[in-house]
Amino acid sequence: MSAPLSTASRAAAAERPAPKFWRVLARVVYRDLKLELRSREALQAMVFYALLIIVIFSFAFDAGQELTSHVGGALLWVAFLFAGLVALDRVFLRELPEASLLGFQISPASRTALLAGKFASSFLLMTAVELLLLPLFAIFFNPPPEARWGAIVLVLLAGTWALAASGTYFSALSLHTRYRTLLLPLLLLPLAIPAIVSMVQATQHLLDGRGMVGYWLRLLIGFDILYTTLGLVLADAVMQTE
Amino acid sequence: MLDCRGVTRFFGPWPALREVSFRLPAGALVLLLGPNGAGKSTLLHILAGALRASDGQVEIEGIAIGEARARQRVGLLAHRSLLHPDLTVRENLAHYAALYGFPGAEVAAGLARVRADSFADVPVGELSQGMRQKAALARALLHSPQVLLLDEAFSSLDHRTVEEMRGILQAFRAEGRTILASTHSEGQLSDFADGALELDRGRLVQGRGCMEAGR
Repeated sequence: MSAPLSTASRAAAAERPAPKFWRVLARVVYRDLKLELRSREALQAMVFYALLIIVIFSFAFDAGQELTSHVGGALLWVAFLFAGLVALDRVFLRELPEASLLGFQISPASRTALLAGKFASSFLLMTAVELLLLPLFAIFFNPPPEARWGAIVLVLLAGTWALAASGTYFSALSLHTRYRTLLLPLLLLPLAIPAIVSMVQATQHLLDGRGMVGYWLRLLIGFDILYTTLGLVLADAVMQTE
Repeated sequence: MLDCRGVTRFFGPWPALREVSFRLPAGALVLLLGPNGAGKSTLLHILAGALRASDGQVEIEGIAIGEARARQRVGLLAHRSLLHPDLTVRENLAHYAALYGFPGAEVAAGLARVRADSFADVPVGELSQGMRQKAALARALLHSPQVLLLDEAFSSLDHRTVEEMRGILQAFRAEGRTILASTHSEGQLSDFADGALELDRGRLVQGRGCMEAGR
């Protein structure tokens, strides 16, 4: 038989304050990354897809400094975009088998914090894979020596932030639809095109050593702020969708 | 005290619930009856705060369910566990402890409460259906809710597990807490239920026992 709680304990339990935003966010990130490191489902698929694209392009286009200085940015982001879609597809899908998302929804935790946590774990996962693949891209595509790698990493972070912020929102939105895997890129990519153009242009300028990325980087950061704000403002509505 | 007033819910143009009203006192165990598609799960999801009603209000001890303080007072045990299959029972409960804003140290007491400590470190996906549902009960009771909602919680469980869970629920109710249990038939909990609500095509067609039901 279960141990009964005293009246005082029950009252204390009922009056417990709702958990703080940052604690919920950190907990969601911790849990999601733990699950991913345990199963490596998304991680393996992301590395495989991105590596496959890099290898195919490097052989198809006879990769060298001239090609990389012209289209290297686009090739790099095609690989990262496909890898990112795998992560974004999985971020809510892993909650379906035992309806664990319903557990989130009925808890007193802020739904905005839940969505922000999902965004943060997607961002960290995508960034880790991109940082792993960036040296391989350099090996396969032999970019010019004047390429500015430090700034490329900065653009990579800003670009990944934009994709993760908008992608997490649409992943939640399409979760209960019949063709969710198809719907996610259909919703995400048209909206993300301005950010994708910015990240490709900025990366391209840095790969060929021109280094004039101020405009594109500012535009990209603007999209980061826009997508993040919209996602957080609409989080409560999208997390209730069924 | 659970107070449901004029709750209506539409999915697109289709009404799943129409003006459902009732009030359950503390310490009551009430069955929610009705055929498939009657709106039982929709009603329970609204009462738990997972879904918004298109119209009407739900209050737990006078607090609207939209507020975090009200959700702190409700637990939901569904036919699925709401636990992640790749995490152990203890890891899942530690996660829920964080979502409800209390320290993970209370997880051990929650496991002991439903006698789930023997399989606490086994991934949920590797548990039998009965063990999984006991783990789910530990999750639903972890934050000591005032109201427990059961959504077909005993379906596909063997007799022994049902008896064990009935004992836990009786103790829970003896503490003055409320239980609303949806089921197809009155079988498993009818002998200690105080009353029943019956839904048909989204309407409350019958209310009997200790609760106040009406339009």
